[in-house]
Amino acid sequence: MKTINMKINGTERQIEIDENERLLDVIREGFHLTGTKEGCGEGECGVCSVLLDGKLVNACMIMAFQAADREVITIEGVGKDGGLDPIQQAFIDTGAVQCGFCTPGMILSAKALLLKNPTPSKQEIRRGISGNLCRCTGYEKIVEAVALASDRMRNPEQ
Amino acid sequence: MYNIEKTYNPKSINSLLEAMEESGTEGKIIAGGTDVVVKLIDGAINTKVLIDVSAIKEMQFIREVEGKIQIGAGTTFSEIEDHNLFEGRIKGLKEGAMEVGSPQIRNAGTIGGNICNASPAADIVPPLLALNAKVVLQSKEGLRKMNLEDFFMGKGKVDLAVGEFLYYVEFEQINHAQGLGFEKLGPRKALAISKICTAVFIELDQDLIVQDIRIANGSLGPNSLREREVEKILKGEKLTAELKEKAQRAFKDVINHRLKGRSGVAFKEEAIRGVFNSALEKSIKRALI
Repeated sequence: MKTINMKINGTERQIEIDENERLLDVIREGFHLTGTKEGCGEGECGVCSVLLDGKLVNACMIMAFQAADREVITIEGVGKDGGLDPIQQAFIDTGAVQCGFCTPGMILSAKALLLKNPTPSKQEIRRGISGNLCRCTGYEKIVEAVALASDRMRNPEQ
Repeated sequence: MYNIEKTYNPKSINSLLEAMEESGTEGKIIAGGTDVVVKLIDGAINTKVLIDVSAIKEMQFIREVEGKIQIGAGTTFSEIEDHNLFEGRIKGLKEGAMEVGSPQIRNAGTIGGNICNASPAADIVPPLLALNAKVVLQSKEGLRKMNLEDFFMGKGKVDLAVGEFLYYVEFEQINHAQGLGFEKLGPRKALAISKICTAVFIELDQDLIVQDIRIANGSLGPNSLREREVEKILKGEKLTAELKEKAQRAFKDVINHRLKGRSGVAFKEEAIRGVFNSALEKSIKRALI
């Protein structure tokens, strides 16, 4: 066992980890943040996506000890002041959520994309979410949702 | 089930060397984790000690020193993709980085990891071989430099001694009349393990005579490798449609011979013609910029 410091969703925390745990295990079972899912466990499906020091990564392929002294943002930390992030609202308004299992990862991929490129083309959106599988929507609504979020974030009055 | 007993988080090369000395043969380096964690879970790696190099800033750089480009082993594929050094004539390297996995994997996975993992299908390796890259290895004794090509010792194996790690890769900046092309064939656009990936470096003179050419393939052998038989056909000759066709046919024979008796040979020996042609045309276009 080992104690590490991690900033998670804006709060500095200290947590005891097992050396065998992945970042995903600590997020779900250590911090009890179960919005981050486990799917394939080998980087194919993207449901465990989180932001590590602002970069989108798969939490199933990073060991917990590697996240020591780093900042992690999960789906629970995306919204501000108890409200939804514009991306979350756009997913609801567009109907981009069906079973919902891929949604947390999709939203984090969209978040990472829009932070880097606030005005992505449809093709860039598809590339931005290419590490996330969805088995319900056929992706069309998800791409629409990200485009809508991009519009709203640039023109907040609408 | 894997059983890690000890972990190290060195922040500098000096503390990495100390951790490696302390852990000896047991220490396994982990960077982005995109291969190591999956292998740990599968039981393909059996170690009790992990040494994380992802927080060592000294291993994260892209720089140009006296006409040579050096890329630190801890540099991620995203950092290569986003760097303005890899536009224009040398864009084949960026294209290799862009084909790796997914955004998540490109943000975590490193060039050093892709090399040291020594997968036959490593996307960044063929462009590096076509650039005639060298690897610079560091240990307590100092630095050791060798050709990337000689660093590979078969599937999953590289020529690293105990206490030694890959510090950076180095290759000459591409000059006027030279170009680097890359093409990958995979089952789908994202997260595809390459069926074939090919990189071509070419140098042409004004009369389209091939002054120099280096061709490298992934997924067509135990490691990525140079295709010298095909290079020989092109070198010193004038680039004509007939010559390109001749090179394609030779490539088909090389692959047929190498993969004989393996599944997929009928597919790969045909597919290589198109993949090679695409990488070649890109290299030519860039050499003529």
